Amino acid sequence: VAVARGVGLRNAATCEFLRAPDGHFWFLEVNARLQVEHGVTELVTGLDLVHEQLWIAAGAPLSERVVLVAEAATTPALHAVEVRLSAEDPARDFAPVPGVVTAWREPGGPGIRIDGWVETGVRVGTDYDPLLAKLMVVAEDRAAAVARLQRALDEYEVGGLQTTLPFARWLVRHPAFRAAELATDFVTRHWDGEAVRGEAARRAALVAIGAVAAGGAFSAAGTASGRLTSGDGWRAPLTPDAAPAGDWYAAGLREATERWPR
Amino acid sequence: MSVLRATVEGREPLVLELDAAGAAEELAGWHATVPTATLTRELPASGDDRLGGRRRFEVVVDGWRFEVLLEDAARAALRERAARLGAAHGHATMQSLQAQIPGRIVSVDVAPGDAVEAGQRLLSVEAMKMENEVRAPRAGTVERVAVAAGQTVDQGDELVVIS
Repeated sequence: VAVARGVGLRNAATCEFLRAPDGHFWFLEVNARLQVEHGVTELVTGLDLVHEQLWIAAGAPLSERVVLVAEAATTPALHAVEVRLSAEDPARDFAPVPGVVTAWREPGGPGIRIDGWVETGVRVGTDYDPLLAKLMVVAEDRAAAVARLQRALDEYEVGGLQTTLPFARWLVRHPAFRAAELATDFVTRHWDGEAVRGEAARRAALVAIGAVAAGGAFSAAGTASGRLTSGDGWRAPLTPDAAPAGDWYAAGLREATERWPR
Repeated sequence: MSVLRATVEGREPLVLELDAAGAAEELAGWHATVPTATLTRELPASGDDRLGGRRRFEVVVDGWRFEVLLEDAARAALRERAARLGAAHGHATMQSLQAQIPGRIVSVDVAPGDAVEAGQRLLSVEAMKMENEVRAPRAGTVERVAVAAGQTVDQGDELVVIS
């Protein structure tokens, strides 16, 4: 608030500081706008920042809510984490991967917020950057937030294109990340995408062999599409290839895909 | 019980041959630790694949998306032998490089007739605000260049053929 007053700014802004190992704070920059991480601030403070901006734009004084939050800012009662889920391949230097999303299921439950735009059938093109969703979690402290994040990431299911999900799942389990030993060279030092992917590839082969065997003779006509989670047999299919007989599914899917021109 | 061959596509394809019982046994071992291996759908097969009795599946493991090609192992072995015999009888081995993502060609660094080394930069494609280089997968001679700088390409379009 003091920084904004100092430069005569009447709007939401992000002031960035770096905390040195000796405990001193160093001023970095001010961004006079909402930032991509503003949801984290909203989860921790309970504020609706866009709402507050509109009040300020309408000429209202800074609200009591914001002043209270600002006074308590140095002792946050909650901890929030944001993960950006992108259509990028973490095994190929995070190269963008456009395509059509054929399956999309998001996590839910307490302390979860998702800002996104994707549903089954949408086409992720090449005209914008490949951000699919921002997953945010909030909990009473960092350990609880990270545990919640791990669970939420495990609940995500995406088909049709490669996302950064495997990287996020690996990261949230990494001992150095858990211990908050972070630096800008974390990825180059610790991440070997090809190795992590290779380990999963063998299981992919096993699941395919197992699924086709469970679905009947290999040469049998028809689709063996469906969902097989290792060991527990077939579940209700989710995808157009194996859609249920009812018209409602096909109609809904058509609507979803046709709204997005190819 | 018949043995199936699964080929997991990628930079270094993984090939696994097992029967259903073998796969089930190894999967049971994974089950306790890894709950998220899902066969999401069968992918449309090309004409070639259908004729050869091959089927293609999308499998998602821990967020990694794989395309797995399944075929009868005995049939696959026969096909490979036939291909080897064909090569021995002097068919040229051409390799066509295709666009991995749609985008715009920024530059083309080689011309037909050029000798290239493995890893040499052939051209670059701009997509999603990023420039991606296409490099030669092996040494050879540039047989054909199908694109020019400034042109837009779709995924799967032929870029360069190396012989």
